[in-house]
Amino acid sequence: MNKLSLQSFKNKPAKASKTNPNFIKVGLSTCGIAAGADTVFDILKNELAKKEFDLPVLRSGCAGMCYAEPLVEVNIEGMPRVLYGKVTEEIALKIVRKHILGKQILNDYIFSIKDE
Amino acid sequence: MWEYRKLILVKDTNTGKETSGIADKFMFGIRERALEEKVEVIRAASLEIYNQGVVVKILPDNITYANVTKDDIDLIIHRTIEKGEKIEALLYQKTEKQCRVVLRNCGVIDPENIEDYLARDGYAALAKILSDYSPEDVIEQMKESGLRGRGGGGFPTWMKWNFAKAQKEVVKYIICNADEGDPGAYMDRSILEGDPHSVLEGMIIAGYAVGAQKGYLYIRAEYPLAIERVMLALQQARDKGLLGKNILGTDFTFDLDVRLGAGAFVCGEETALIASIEGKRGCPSPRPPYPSVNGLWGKPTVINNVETLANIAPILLKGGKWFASIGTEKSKGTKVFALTGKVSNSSLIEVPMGTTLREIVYNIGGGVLNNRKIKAVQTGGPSGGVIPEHLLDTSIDYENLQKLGSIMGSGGMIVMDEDDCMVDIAKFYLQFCVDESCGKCAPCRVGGKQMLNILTTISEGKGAMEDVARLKRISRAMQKASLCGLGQTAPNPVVSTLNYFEQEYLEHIQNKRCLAQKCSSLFVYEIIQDKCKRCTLCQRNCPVEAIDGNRDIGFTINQDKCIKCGKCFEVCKFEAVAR
Amino acid sequence: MQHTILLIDDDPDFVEATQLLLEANDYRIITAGNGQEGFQKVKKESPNLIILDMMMTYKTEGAETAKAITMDAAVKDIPIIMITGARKEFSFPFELKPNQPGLPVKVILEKPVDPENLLKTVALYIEKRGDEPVKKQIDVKNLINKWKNKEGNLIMILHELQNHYGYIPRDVAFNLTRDLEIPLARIYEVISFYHYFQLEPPGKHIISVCMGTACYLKGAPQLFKEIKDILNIEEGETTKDGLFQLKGVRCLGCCGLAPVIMIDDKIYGNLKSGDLMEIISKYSNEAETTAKGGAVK
Repeated sequence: MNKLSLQSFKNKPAKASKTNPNFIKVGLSTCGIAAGADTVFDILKNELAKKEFDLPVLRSGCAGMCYAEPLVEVNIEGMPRVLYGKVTEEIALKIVRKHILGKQILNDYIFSIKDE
Repeated sequence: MWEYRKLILVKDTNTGKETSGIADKFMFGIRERALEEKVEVIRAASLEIYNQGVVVKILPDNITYANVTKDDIDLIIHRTIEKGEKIEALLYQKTEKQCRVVLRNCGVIDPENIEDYLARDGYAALAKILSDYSPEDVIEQMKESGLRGRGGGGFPTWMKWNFAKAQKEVVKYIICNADEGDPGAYMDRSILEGDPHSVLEGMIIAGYAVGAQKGYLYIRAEYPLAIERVMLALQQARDKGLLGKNILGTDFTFDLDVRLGAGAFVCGEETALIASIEGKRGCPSPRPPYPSVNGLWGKPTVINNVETLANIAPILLKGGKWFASIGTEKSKGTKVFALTGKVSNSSLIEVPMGTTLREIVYNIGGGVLNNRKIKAVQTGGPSGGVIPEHLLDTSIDYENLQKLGSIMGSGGMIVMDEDDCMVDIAKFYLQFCVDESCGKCAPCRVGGKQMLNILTTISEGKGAMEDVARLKRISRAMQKASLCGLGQTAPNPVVSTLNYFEQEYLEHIQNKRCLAQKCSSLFVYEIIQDKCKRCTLCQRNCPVEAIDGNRDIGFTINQDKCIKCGKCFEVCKFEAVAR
Repeated sequence: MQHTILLIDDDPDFVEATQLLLEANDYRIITAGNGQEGFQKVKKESPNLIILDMMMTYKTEGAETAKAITMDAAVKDIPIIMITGARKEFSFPFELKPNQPGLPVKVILEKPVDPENLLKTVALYIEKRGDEPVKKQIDVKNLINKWKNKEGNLIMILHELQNHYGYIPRDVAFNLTRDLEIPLARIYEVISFYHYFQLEPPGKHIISVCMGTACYLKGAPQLFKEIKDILNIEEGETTKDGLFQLKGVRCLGCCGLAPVIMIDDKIYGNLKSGDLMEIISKYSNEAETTAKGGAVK
């Protein structure tokens, strides 16, 4: 790995590489994992692989909404950014099949929606 | 770019009978007007707005309506959806409650990938101070920010740093206190698991300001995931040249290592923590000398809590003035709380200092679980106290909480409802402190045990009126004479419950009753004859044969024999046993 | 790599025949004629597997030897296959079933042993176990060397030892005094101060009931009582079969899911009374099936 220097911070171009706008994020902190987030994470990955749909499944820490764990954030370009909560294995499959492949937002599991 | 249909999100659950089914009515209304091609209605489980009745959010217009009733449905569809107008009367007035400084990256970045942290201005504060700031400048900024220790005491961070900096010693240490032992609190764990680099950056900056070369993170062994992520973060930072020799190509050298706690609450106290890192029993020593003068291996040592350290990078990046603009006059910035207990939404929150407890419980926490009546909020864990319902409008800062007999503490905030018995709560916390007392000084070792004995007698209905005065007397002795913070604050839960709920203690002592139905020795079990089906189940299950009678004449409980085990209450299928 | 098998039997004919069979299948064989000699060779050679006769000088010698081996922290994990011809003829003060405290062996095979069956069983347990015993011993040495010259190393070493053995075995603590050149009292004063360190071997499954404030308010004391009733043990104790150990813990930090319990590394949240029986029986059933499965093979 290249070592960073003071210079590399000064020259840092503003928001250099544009990140992929499409991704799913699963909250994998202790309470998330206790609620089953690791299984959900695997299911999302497997299901997407099975459907041969290229979408990165990312990991994040605690978003603070412990009561709604496991949390899955879905970002698909052109669709609103949705945070689904209390995601079970079944809902994880629904997220892939309906939301991601079918471009259809799910009823009843939205816990937050990003305005911007 | 929005390519989706227009979206109406409706949150109508848990809002009462009147408003249930509004989402479905919206769907119906949209279909009636043949708009379903263009507009979609979605039921949401939560829109993060509470106590505002039914909430409706329209996207992409980003219009939020609150307290929507059935009568508003047609109006909203007609005016907002069809004509694109805002209905002023229904608009939700947004009051920004949460403010994320410490938790800026938690839940946003991948904690196992340093690139994610770098992409969000990670280590930019470190680069900035290394190129532009002298250690004095850093401390000046910290002074301006007014940041105070988030571990409990609230000592100004810049002063700690300045004391250590002023020492002539060459070897100095920075310690991150992540021995989060307070039951019911998990702020530190969430920060370390969600954004470990923010803590490392804070420590490196502290090292630069103080002139230290080495630091330790003292983490609870019970947090394996946090430990794993911190270890990974250390490795990544080292690989990137952000830690170790000649950081970022400058001549500043600083390295970090992890040391594990081993399940001793007292090790959260700074002198005990130092003893533990040194590989000894975690017994506190008298202060002064303070660790900033004579700490780890006798060297000047700065000990900061996880949350304090996570605040450092944003302060130096945006300036002390910016930080000081958040919060109250004497308590600057934000505070992270673990909001748990009998609250609808147990969550990890970050609010500006000065927010009221009521706002936190009702507007962020969504109110009390099952719509019960709130009795009190407990802050500060075993060292803190309870704040009763009528004082919930107090705005939170170090001084106000202290005035109310509680403390800011590390950030546990536990909601209690009318089913919680204050004697039982006091006993719970005191039991904790008795178990965790290291035994070095007598006031804590003996006093705690004696207080616990008295509380136990009270909860068993054997208390005497003098017990209240006794509790107060021992509390004062412990507060004055104990060696460390653990013993000095251990009586706090008892003192504060006595202060606000003395009546409840008296109820236990005089009337032998526990109104919250918690103290099992005070239950009186009785058979309700009207409901009793004479199935004999209770009689057969009673371990002491305290239930007299037979199928013909019915059953009664012999109170002299009853040991109040509750077996009859549990086994009765007809709810015919009352307590 | 060649695996080592220790053969403990007082019948020279059986030893010779079995030795030939196993050597032909590329195992290294060491032999011992009685329990005591066998135990010494286990300690010295740390074999990958032990084949042990039940009746030698006295009729329960095999069982005593197996117990002695499993009590010794350094070798306790080496699998033991018991061979016996005594099943029907004699009564023992314990049942002749594998995986029990009175007879801590993996499998019991009856004499005469079918050679093919023996090879299969041996292969199964060698494979399961790999080269662990050898590696484990080195680990401890490495660990001490890694920490030896660092200040304040004792607690970190104890952590690694406990991760390794599940507790701090007495003999290991004794060795530490020599390796680190510190008094034994210093080591035990630290072990006994911190709740995290254990002096007794843990149960197979550890049930930790969270007694943090949030869990306490939401019914943890009732859960605790229920588990005690189900397992018939008190806090800190282990069930007679060694399957479950019950602990009350400070706070698992999952207050959002209160009340919670943790079994080994898995957390169960939002528990209600009545949920526990099902969860616990899952673990006890699992143990039963593996025990049976092992015996069949």
